[in-house]
Amino acid sequence: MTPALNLWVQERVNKTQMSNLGRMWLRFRRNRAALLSLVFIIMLMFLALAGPHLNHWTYSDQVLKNANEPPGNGYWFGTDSLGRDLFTRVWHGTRISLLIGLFTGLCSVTIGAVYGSISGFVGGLTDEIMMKIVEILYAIPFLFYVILLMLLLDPGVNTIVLSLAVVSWLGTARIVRGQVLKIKEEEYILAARILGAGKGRIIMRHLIPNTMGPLIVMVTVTIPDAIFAEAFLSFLGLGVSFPVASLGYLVNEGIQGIRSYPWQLLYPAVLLSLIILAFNLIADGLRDAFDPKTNS
Amino acid sequence: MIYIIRKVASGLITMLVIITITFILMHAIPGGPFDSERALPESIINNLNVRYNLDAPLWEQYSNYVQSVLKGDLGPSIKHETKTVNSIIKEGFPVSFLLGSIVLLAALLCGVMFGILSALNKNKWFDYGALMFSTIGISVPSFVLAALLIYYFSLKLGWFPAALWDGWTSMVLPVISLAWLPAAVITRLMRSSMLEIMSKDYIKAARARGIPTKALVIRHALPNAVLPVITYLGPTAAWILTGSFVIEKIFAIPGLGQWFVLSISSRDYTVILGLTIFYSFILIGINILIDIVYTFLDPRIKLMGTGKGE
Repeated sequence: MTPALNLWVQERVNKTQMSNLGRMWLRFRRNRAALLSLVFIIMLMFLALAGPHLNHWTYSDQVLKNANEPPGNGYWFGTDSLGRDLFTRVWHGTRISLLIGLFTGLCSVTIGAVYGSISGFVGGLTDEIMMKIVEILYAIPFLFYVILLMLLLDPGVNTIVLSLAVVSWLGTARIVRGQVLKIKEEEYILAARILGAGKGRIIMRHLIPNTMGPLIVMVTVTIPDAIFAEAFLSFLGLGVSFPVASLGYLVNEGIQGIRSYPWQLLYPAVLLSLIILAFNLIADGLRDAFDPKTNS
Repeated sequence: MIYIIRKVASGLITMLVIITITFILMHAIPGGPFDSERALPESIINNLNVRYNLDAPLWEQYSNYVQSVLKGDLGPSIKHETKTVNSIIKEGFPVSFLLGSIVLLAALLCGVMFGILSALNKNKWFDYGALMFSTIGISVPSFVLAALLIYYFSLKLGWFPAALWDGWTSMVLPVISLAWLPAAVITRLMRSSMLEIMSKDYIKAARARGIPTKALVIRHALPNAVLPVITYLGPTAAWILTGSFVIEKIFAIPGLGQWFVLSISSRDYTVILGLTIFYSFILIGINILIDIVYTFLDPRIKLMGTGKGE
């Protein structure tokens, strides 16, 4: 190949690679529910940052004589049993829940991607052993491992992210391995190899860009799972520690006063459900955008 | 047959790994089981250690533990002098089993039925309605759903008791809160697999022969379309199991999940670990059972498992 032709080929290749994610975005944009959810989540992130500062209460300020106030009277969402402003606490909780979701999603997908790609790329006995380990761990719901880990470690946001990430990467590892195995057999990899591309170049230029789609989907799938798992743990008394509150913690507090003070349950419960719903819709949209064939 | 033996062997290995993990975790937890606010005299601690065999070397404790678990003895409770893990299981499991079976059945029936109806009414109002309900089911955490159900149906309308375990009226709300999510997932699975099957040639041929839709769906499409749902039964069982922790707590159902939550909050380590092992055993057993049933329903899978099908 002449240098000019070489350059031309290179450019074409770059262009198609760039447009892979671009095309995904184009298809995603057409899914109105998913796009709306994305806007909703961005709005929530903004509110989670700004919300706790919109009035003069902090999430741990207690005014005991104003305990269990209904919404109104200077408290937009009412107060809880210790006279803390629920509006501030709900948005602070949203912040904690979103943070836990995002960090867990990123950590868990990173671990899974590294594990899965090593397993798929090396292949052979290594692959078999690594996948056997995944299979054994997979037999038990990951909440069991999280519960055991949480018993072992001190409660707190960091611990929750850590233990959720440590146990929730199994699905990603499987998907990435499958993807790597599939791509390895593709003809363009063979072509690249014939043209003299080394292992490193194939990993950097072909494997990673081509697994980006499923990885992005996996992050969005893991986020609502993590938010749910954290809420579940808070519910069991293993979640974030007093006086910090996540949405799950607030729901748990709200259930205790459900008879007399239903607003203490309603606001965090509705918000928690909407967040999980939005992330699920985004994940659905991304999945369809990445692989239109699964759209049924 | 080889396939089944392999599945069982793999399940046993998994069990052993889980017992080992739980054993290691039990010993990694900081603080001894007899730590309390009032320091106990040295001699009492020593006696207690001897009583629970905690003075033996670690590997000996491990082999003792594995042996007693294999014999079916999951050990005593540290916090409740009169109870053992086995007696707790005997007390709580029948209740949880009853609840779990009803939930599983309800989820399966609703999911399969709505899935078929959605597929047959593709892109009509029924389909969109089912899609909406299943999206809600997947997004609303079970305990949030339970709380909202209690608020409206127990407190506002007074139709069902808020927390009780006596008769069928007390079962309605817990079953709905636990079954909604699996029912939603099964509806989606069933819908897409039904759509796929209905476009197959043999269905078209049957339709051309003039077989009415009802018989076509029940006799020809359903047996094939239901296969993906059966593979989802394992995750469903796992979901019901973990879901039962919070649901039993909310509705004050005296089941095993309630005990598990209680032992977590009172840090009753032997009960937590014993119940974890018991739950793992149940789940692995269910998964092996599903695999075996599946090979009978879909003989193709047996060949793939032994590598002869390739």
